[in-house]
Amino acid sequence: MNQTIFEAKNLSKKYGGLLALSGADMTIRKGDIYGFVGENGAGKTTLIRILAGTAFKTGGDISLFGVSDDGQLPSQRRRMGGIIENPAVYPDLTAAENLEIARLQRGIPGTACIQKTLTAVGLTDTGKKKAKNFSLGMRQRLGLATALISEPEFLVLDEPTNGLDPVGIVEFRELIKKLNTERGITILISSHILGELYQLATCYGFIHKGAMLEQLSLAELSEKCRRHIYMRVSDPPKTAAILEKQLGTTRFEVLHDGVIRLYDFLDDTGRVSGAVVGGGVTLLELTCKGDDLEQYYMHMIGGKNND
Amino acid sequence: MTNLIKAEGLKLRKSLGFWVLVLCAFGMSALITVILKAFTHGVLPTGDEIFYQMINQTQMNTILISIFAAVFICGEFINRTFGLSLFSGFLREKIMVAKLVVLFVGGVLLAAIMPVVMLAVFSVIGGFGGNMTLLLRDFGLYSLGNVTMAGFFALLAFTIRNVGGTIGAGIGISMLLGIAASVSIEKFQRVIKFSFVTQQSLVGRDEIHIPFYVGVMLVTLAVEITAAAFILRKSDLK
Repeated sequence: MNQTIFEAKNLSKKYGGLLALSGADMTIRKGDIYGFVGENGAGKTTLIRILAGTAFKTGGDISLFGVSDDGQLPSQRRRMGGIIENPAVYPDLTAAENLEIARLQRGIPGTACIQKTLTAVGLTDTGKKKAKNFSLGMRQRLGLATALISEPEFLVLDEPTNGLDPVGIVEFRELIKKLNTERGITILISSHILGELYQLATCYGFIHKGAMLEQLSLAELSEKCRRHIYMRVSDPPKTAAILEKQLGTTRFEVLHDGVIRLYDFLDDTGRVSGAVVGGGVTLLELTCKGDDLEQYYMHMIGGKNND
Repeated sequence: MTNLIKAEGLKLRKSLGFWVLVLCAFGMSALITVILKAFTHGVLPTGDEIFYQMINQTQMNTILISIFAAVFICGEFINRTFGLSLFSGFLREKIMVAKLVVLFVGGVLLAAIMPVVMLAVFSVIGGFGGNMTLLLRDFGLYSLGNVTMAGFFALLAFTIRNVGGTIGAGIGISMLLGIAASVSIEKFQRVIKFSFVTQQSLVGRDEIHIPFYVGVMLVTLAVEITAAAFILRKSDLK
């Protein structure tokens, strides 16, 4: 099994009376691009802040690079870099000066790393322009450069494509992929733009109202999002029994609101509808579907919302 | 820690706010010199006299140091760069101490500009006229007072994390303490003599008791740093 870079167990966080995280679990392994999916206010940034050390957990445990002792976590964070929400930069300084501060802080010898990092993120032509005059995309790149200057093993990016134009999003995505494949950096990337994550992540975690709903690999997600027969019926338990006994399949899922997803008989929907109706169940809807990440998430939180 | 202090030193050197304040201090020195030359008909103070007038006039230090501390510390919270340092694996207390070291150096330099510049100018014009050993001792006491004052503003900045709020609260509290120091009620004086503002106003005067002055400043500084560390250690940051 791959080395675990970050692990959260039963993590919770309260802000006053508000429970921002409730018993969240997360496991990120070396080499992953972990897509952290959740709507605004779901708890993504709260979890990332606890990981970064800017916020304190109320309960549960976290471990970084296998170390879970709170006193040892800061030294493990030296192996990380990242951007939380907006990139943290000194607005009155140039890109090179911002990186010089990061270099001095982290005790990186020599100044060659500054130019190298600026080149890596495509910020070589900014000269004496101060960061406050940068576009949002340039600030994101500078934030990423600050994170990368110490050559981290684990990169945490919270909503990194917020405010970027379509070209900027594509460039940023390519850069992230390159960092993962060429430098072997493990990446946690949160977003509520699911289509964006679907093109990037190798595993996923879904969070909703502070609770982690599911974690799965890209292969598992693809399996779950694969084509299926979508049925809405009056009596799901009875339908399940019909599918098992009459059609001899167990490759189906019973969801909320009388919805059943059947992964067999995709080319023979007539046989399915016949068996269901013949068994005395009212068939309210039947269609062939295939989910994308967005639909999958919506189904998932739809179910949770109905709980 | 050395790396953090080096980085803070670079931030100070590149801080626009700091250099504007330095310019203000030099500008004020020039303005006061011109005014004194224009309105004191031939009887200009000596370098020593103007030096003590400057260090006893604490409102200017208060304004300069409060603005500097507010900009230098609150900016880290506003720009989220304090959180970035945490993300890079540094302990809150270490980041704070590095920040304070450079803040103290900057605060002492800012507060020293007016007395030192005026001392130099008026010594050239009308002679020094004082005792250099005493002057150096009092400059040391004055600088210690400014470090304590910078610590006070730093505590406010780490708590309030807002430039305007820090300057407003800092100047307001300092003014109140200054007014309180001038209230001539014996019982009240027994308490207010422990305030760093009261003690700083005594530098260069016969009433000063140096060991007590140093004790008040060091104890106040220790309380300020401990309180700031406690607040930082307990609070979530953005």
